[in-house]
Amino acid sequence: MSMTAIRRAFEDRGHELPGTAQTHARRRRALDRFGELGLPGRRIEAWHYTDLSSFADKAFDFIAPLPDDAALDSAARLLALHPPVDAGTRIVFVDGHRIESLGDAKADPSIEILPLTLESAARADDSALSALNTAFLREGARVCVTGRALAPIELVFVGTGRGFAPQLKLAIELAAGAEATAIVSFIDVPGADEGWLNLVTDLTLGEDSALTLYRLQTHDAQLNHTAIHRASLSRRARLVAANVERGGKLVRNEFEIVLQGTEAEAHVFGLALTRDRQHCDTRIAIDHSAARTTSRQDYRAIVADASRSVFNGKVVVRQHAQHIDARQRNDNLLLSAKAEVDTKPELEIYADQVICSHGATVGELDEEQLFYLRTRGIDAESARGILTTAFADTILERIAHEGFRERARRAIDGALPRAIGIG
Amino acid sequence: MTLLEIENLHVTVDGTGILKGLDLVVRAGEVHAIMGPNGSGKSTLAQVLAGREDYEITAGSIRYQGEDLLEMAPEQRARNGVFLAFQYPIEIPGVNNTYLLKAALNAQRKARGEAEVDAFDFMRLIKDKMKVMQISEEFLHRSVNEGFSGGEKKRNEVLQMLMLEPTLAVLDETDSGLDVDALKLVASGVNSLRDPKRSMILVTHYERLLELVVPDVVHVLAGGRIVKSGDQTLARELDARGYDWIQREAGAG
Repeated sequence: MSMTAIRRAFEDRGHELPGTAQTHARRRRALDRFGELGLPGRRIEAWHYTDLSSFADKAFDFIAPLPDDAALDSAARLLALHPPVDAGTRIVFVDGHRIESLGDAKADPSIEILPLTLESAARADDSALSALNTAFLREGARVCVTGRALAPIELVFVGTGRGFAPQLKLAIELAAGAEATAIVSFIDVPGADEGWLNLVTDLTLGEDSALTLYRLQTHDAQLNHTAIHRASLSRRARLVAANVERGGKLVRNEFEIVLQGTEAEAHVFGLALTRDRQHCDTRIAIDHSAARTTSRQDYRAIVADASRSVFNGKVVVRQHAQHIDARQRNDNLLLSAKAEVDTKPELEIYADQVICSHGATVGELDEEQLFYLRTRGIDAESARGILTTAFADTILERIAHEGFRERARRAIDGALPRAIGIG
Repeated sequence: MTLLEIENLHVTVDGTGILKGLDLVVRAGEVHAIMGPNGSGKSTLAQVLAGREDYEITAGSIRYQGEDLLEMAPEQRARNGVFLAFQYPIEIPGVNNTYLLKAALNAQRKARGEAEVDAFDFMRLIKDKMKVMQISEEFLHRSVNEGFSGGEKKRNEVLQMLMLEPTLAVLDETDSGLDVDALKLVASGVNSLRDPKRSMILVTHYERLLELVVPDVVHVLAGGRIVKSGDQTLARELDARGYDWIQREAGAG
């Protein structure tokens, strides 16, 4: 969609978006900002391997209308195949609209769920995609946690395959000492039209709070997906983010984590499985702004067919931030000669009392291991399957929530045979 | 009855000839020991029997149970009863020992047209065999060979062999690197499998295993061929005198 077409859509149908005249003026400013920045692509260092400039030629609808009965019906049928993984509140969005009748509200004195509006989302737009998100933001959810949540809160984003490009925002805010788990998943009714979901998630962790954020992305092959997670951690706060990427056409998932308070900790790990011509880019930037902060990044990718996987992990240690422990790993398994992996660690260290490590590997299945399994009577295809599953399990086993772990494992296991070439 | 018949086997590894006209006949129920100096081709022979694909067979034949072994994929050989205990067992992080043993056993059963092993029977069987090899139960939950000591890896190979009950077992230096107690365990595991229908090839560098598992025939492999065969006294002689005299004798002959 060209800038002209985007502007025309905004002028013609922008009034369908919620908010006051003041909100609308803010949307317009954001759109101008997006116009200045343009769709991100190679000319920007952080987008070296992923280029959205081709999106200008695609007919995305940023102002998705409220889903009709047929769309809601197909969403309900899809949701029936993806039941909740736990007993907490479930919030469902369909094509960018929150649909209360498909969700399930559970009472929990520690959690309050508020609608997220542009008025309550104060943060400035520092990137093209967050500016686009502000310009066309329909709604979102703001989850405020004040104590220890009784059960994980689940957020499900359903697409009905009609070529929409919803702009959504989530905010998860933990008060001091609060503890919660959020499970975010993306599913679609298979559709013919190419879509794009652009999600901005702001995470605010108060002192001594702990958030576990699980993400399972199993989009339809026609869905593009861009996600930005912006997290700020106060003293002794702890963030664990586990990401499983399996679907989508072009996927970009970003984390910008600022460890603001001393002894704050961020653990970001993930597994990506890409097939066909999928493109999956994960970028993690962790800013150690305070002393005695810890970070861990551990990502694995299984890259099949002519797909491409990108990992860019960045660690910044500020000059006054001493006694830092920051570690990063990225391991990639290539299942095809046409598959491609780009992995790039970036370390910027301005302090001297720092333990910092990074390591990356790109390889194929180990021939010696395959031979060993075959000498035990296991056929070559099964042996490939066993070793690939083992590679994935190293990450999946670290998912503490059993229900989510099994859901994620099924999502990966279901896609592996074809990735290995035996399905 | 002849179980294995190797004729004029020539094998090249990375362009270098390793086996140069090896002949060997193993009958059902026999235990053969293959000894020889380093680099004589003992491990190459073991790997070729198991079906290693990057070793090139340039001449000769191997018949197993009357069929062309070289035509079979490694997994087919295993399902037909060929087992190799690796000299250097491979570590497979993320693949559970129990899982591997069950998958291996079921692959074999499936090939024979039998049902999958019952979970309860399987656990009883594996616990029995673990007792024989003095392997602790926590091993069941560990990844294949990962973090095992050298001795544990060797005992694990023998455990797999006890579970799979092969028709032809090839043990590639399963005795090397073991202390006396572990060697006795391995030997008792091997002896427990001796059977009129089962044959074994023990590839070894040292004679001490052959004091515990007494072979029917001892062969000396040198320069890619079997240069001398005899009984256990030949193994003792090699232990006392080394290999030089044999190589000289073979060169002279």
